[in-house]
Amino acid sequence: MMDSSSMRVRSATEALASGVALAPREERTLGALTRPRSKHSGRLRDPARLLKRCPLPLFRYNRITASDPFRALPGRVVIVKSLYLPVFVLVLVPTVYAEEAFPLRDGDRVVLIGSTLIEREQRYGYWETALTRRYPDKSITFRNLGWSGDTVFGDARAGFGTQADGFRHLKDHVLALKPTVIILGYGTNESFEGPKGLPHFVKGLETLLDTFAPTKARIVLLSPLKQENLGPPLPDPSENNKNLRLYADAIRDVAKKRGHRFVDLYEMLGKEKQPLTGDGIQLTAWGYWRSAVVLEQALGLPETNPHVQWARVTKVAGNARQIQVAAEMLPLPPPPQEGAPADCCCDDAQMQGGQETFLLQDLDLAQAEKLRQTIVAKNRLYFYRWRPENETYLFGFRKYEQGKNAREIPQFDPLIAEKEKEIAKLRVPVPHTYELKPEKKP
Amino acid sequence: MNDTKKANPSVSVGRIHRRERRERREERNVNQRAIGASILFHLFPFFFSALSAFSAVNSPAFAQRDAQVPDPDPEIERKALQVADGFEVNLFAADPLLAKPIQINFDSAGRLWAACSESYPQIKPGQIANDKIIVLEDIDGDGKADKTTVFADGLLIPTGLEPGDGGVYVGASTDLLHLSRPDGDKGPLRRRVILSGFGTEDTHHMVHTLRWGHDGMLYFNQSIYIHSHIETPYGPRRLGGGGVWQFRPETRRLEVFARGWWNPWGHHFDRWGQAFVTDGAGTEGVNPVIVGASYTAAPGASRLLQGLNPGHPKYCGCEILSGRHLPEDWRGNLITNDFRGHRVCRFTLAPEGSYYSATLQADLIRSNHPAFRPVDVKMGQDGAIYIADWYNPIIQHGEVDFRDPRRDVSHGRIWRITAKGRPLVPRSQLVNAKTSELLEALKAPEDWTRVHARLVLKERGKSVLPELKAWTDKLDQEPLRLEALWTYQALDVVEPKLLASLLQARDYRIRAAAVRVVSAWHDRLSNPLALLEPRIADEHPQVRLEAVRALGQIPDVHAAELALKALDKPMDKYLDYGLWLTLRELAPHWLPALQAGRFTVADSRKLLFALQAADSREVLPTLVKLARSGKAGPSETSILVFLASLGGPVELSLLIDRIASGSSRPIEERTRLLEALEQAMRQRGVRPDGDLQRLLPLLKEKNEQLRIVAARLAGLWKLESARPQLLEMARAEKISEAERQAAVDGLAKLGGKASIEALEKLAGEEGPITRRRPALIALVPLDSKIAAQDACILLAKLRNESEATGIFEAFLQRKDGAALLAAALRDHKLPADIARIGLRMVRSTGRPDAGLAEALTKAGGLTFGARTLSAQEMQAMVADVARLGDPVRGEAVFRRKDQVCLKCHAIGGAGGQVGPDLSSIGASAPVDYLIDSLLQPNKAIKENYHSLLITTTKGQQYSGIKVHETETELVMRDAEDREISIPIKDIDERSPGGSLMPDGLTDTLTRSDLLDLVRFLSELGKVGPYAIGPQRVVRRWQALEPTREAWTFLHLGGGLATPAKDERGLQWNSVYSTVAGLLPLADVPSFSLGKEKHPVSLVRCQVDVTTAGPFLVRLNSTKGLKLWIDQNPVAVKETLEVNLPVGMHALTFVVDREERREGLRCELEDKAGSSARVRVVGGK
Repeated sequence: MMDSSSMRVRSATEALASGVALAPREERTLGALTRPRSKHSGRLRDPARLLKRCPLPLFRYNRITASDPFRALPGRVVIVKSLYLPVFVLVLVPTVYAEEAFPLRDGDRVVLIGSTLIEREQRYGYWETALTRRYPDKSITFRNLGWSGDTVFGDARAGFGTQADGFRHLKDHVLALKPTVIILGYGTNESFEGPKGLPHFVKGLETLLDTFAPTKARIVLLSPLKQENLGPPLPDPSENNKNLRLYADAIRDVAKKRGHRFVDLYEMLGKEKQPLTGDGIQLTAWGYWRSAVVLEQALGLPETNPHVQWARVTKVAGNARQIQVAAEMLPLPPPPQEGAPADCCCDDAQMQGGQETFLLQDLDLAQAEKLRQTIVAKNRLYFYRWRPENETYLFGFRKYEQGKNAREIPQFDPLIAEKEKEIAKLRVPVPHTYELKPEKKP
Repeated sequence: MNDTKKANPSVSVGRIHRRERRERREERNVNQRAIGASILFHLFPFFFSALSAFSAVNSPAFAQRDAQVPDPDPEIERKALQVADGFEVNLFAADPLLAKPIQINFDSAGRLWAACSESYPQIKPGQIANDKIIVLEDIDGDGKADKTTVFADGLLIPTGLEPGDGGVYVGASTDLLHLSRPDGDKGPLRRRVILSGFGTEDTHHMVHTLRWGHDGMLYFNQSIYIHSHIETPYGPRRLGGGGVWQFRPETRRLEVFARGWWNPWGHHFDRWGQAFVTDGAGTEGVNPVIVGASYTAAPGASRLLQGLNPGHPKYCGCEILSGRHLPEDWRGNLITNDFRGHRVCRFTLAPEGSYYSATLQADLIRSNHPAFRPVDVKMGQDGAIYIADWYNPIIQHGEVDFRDPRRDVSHGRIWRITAKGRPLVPRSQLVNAKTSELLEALKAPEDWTRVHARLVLKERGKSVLPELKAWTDKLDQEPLRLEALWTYQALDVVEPKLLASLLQARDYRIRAAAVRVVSAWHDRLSNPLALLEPRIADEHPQVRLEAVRALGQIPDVHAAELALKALDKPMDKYLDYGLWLTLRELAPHWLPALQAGRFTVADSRKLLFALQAADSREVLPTLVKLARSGKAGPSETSILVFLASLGGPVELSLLIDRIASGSSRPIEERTRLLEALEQAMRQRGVRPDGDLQRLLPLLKEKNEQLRIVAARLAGLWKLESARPQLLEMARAEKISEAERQAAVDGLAKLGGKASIEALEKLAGEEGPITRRRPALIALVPLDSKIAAQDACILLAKLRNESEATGIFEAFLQRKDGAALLAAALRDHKLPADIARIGLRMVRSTGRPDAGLAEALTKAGGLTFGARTLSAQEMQAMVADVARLGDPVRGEAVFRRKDQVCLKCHAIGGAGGQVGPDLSSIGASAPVDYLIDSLLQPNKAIKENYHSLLITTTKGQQYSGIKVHETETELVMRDAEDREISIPIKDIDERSPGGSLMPDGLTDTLTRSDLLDLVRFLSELGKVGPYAIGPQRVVRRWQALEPTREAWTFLHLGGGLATPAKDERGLQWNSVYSTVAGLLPLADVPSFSLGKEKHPVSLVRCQVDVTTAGPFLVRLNSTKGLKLWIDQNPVAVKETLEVNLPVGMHALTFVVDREERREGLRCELEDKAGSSARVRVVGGK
């Protein structure tokens, strides 16, 4: 009937910005759009009036090739003529391409490895959700192997053994997952060794990357974060930051030399007004939410306004009174409320986000949040799987006692698979059906 | 997604969320209603018992083979609690208000918080972790909780909690969380990860025992299997193993306060800020904490401190009592829980030198209720004692399956103990009090009130400073000024004037506390060294110890110089440890200064102390200079011995110079030097430069000990020229066993064909066993194949167990040894007893060689049946143990020599240390577990008793229980209860092994023997005749073996007149008292010293006096006894007053066996008014 995949709908916020008048908020409408209250409720009375409200530039949309939407150039504008009601076709949000994109591919197995920065991400899931939502039609799995306090030498993974054992565990865990993409976040702990420790660190990093080389995975190296100055009684970070910058630079050089992607979190996250950490060094839920945007940007993914959604018209029903739209991709989940449990659902007030959130986005924000929670739940199950409690008894030197219970641990696999299935469903934006409705008279 | 969503894609996901949340809220409301209902049950016991009957019927546990799962009615449990005289116990809270409390703590409002876990010990696949933080409130003050709130849920095994900073800190798996509800109890939960990276390798080891200190810092502990890697703004902090963390939440500074222990499940501060730790797996009772020290089981530590009560059961929780409600003699006592033995225990603490003594008193609570598991103890605002009862028939999770259905997951109790007829402490209102009121509360006699008042002040922040200053200025009492100082410390505000004045306090305990504050503020004080200087010479050793440790925090060469001044005053072992630690920590500062000639300590004793603490090759030049100076005086030998442990060939030659030239030197010193050279060769492979032939004359020295060491050293150095002399020694007719051993060892080390031939000849040719046996053992590493043939012949001639063990051991230590011996045994027969010993040794290696076990079984003509039980058989046996087993007969079986139980296991600290102490095994282990442990020792091994198998680079094999390990050596306890030290550099391979307890130990028991034995074990630790009480009764004795030497000594040498004289060649073997404390004379060998004379036995025991003074020795009777204390005869009385100097002393009894038939019981008691501290020495 029509090339529905090429239609995009813009949100109310954006519409407002372009001077489009909207129906009063209490109607929860955008122009003539509203959710159907019942199957036949609402009638389109005067589409012409609506048309008048929309200035011309809105009648444009951007066609993007279906295979790789993020490679499209901005500004390619085509007037859609086939659409019965052009009012629904809105402009594409301007995109910013910071760098060449680092795309994920169908079937990618992404492994995140590093210290606390990586480990805690799995409990918040903002990074993973940000990347997952970008590829609603691709099957990509993420496995988080972060371990607090770890170094490129595997210090935190030594268990009862030596640093060499720790490194072996690091290697074995990563290789066993046969990664196609590795996101690696080290350097914070090592930086406390200062300039004299730098050569040792660089050597360790290179050794680690050599170890991963057989996987042929595409590798992203993250810099350590800048230590935030939160004022006394927390320590003044200026000395530490000199070292952190030094180590960040070294990581960048290694990345450049070896042709890996480098993400400079130190720089990109260094200028926030609202603190990203609670102690100067570890990201809070807010910090992870905020850095998810930065990470996307650094990976060359087009910037999305958290208040703006792309959508596509998937169905125009009947005599065009009902229209089904689905977002191209989910938005980022709503930012965490300060103090809200990051892995629990948020409050209503927060779902609504800003003042002028488009109804469509309301729905998608909730879905994005649900996606994130499912990712967190998956990560939790995977954590039970790869780093179970009581490891000493299940697999360690006391396995002759409780080793029999180790049989339970693989039983997490189907549970994880189940969550992956949920994620696969949740990452695809759900189409929403809207109905045209006449504006109320003032 | 569900069908509804599919059918109507426009349904808001957000709305689904809301629905879920609503459901969740409703669920919680239901829970709260249920909790409300439970209060009704308290009011109407009838309903409650109806409920419990109902739940009991439905309990899957009821179907179990062991009827240990008790009726969960709290009233039944309460009646089973026997409380100390003058006290009573009431139920404060019970399920369903809470289930499985792990830690309890009060907040400043007096509410009791509990960390509860139903998912312990291990989350099941598909299970949603929903463990809770519960708040219990006693609103009307009647001593019973009448409101409960689920503060947080959805947690996975929270193992500790401490309210504070507007919420609660919770240790949960990898994280330390802070949970709060900023908008009130009904508002949303705010969850902050404060620290992460704690290990989870064992769920009962995870972050636990949270505590606020007087200093406003948060302390928490972890246990031995945990490896934590925590990122802080000050850099990563790592702790592998047990220990106590110290944390200041505002600054996020995290440090290790002390290391070690297996399960430091108890930690508290006394009135003066001194810390004490109890251990839930170690067996050393109460541990006073030296800041920064390493205690038992600390991985990698080169020096460890022990607890005060070796041989004690495991303890959980720790609270030091205070306040007006309790009788005066209870204040300052330490309460902890023997959770295995269903007991709440009480210790009195007393200062002793720089440290403390802890003396066990009668139990506060004892019980035989199988599910009473006191795991935590806290004092409440009302001055009563609160006990968290984990309520579980099954504890621990190593031995008993994670999924054992008898594990209780739904019950839990809080008990409250009050002193009868004494008024409770009035409840204070701290949370909303004015600052002035809080300051006044710092004067309260109850620690509870003072600690919480300070926490509230701390939360108010620096705004309280003006009032605090005004209040402090008006104080004149030192203890109150200490409270003020701690309040400043809690607020992290440095107050040098107040500190300086308290450093001069009259009370040494306040001076000690103030010194610790210097250490915390040292980098913010202008003159920390000047402040500490007078305290290093303080008249009280405890202050000196604090000063020594405070100096360890100050990175300055002068701190080290100052610390060494502690040596000018009397030292004790804790001061010695503290000083060692300080100098070790400061080594990076004073060592370079020493090398640059800027270290001003000249006294050789002090210098040696420092150099030894540094334990670094960098000190060599100084050491050599010191050794050459000739000014070292009495320290010279110690300097040389230390030199030998670090030096190279050049330095070692200094020793051989001294030994060779200084025949005027005392023999002991020369022997020490020679032994130091031997160590250097054995451990580091270093031999001295220069002419080694100078050793040869020592082989002919008059002194035997010197000859022995020289013989071994000649072999190690491969001094071919010593061969003829060594051969002569090895062949000699009249020579001690030790010397012959040294000679054959020397020959074996010389190696080569000549040695093989010589040893083979010695082992093979006719001659006394005493000559053949050592030669054979020495031959095994050189040529195992020939040795195996010879061994078969020799073993067949042996009649004595101890003669055979060395031979088997030599083969078992060789990689191919077991196989070669098995092959050789094919054509031989062995006496059944010898074969049995061999079999036991094979089975106790941790990796039994099946071939050798079979060969021994065949050669000895032994037969064994399989001893695994089916579920039905087990059920029958468990029932028969209760029905037919007789603990009295069982104890006899346990003590039988062929059962060798006491060789490895102690009861009440007396017995072998290879396996766990069994004092409370009956109270902690289910009967089926006991049976399994006896029949299949490898099925479930007690924590810390798994063996380690070591193969050295030289192809030798060792198995044992790891005692400790440092960077250079690994110390293990082998199945023969010997500590063996293996240099780390020699370890080729290490692997975990099974139990050292051999299979088949019960092979010789009849079924009824086995029932009796299990019954006896199952009674151990339960209230009754098989509980070890706090009495200091002698449990380990040494009896003189009737050897030829002993007979000669007694009969010809008039030894009976001086039996306490420790003659060479006499053999004293351990014998043990029964659980009741009586040494049965039937187990003691006797001598017949002529026809007319009565046969006698000689037994002795040891006491350790740590504070001198009069004390009492009480005997059950004096009949037929003569007593010597050390070398002095003493008139025997039933109650004897004794006054001995500090140190170890021996009490030797000569028992006339004709006159005395009854056993011997000897007990130490305090004498009223005396400050003496004496303990009985136990062990194997």
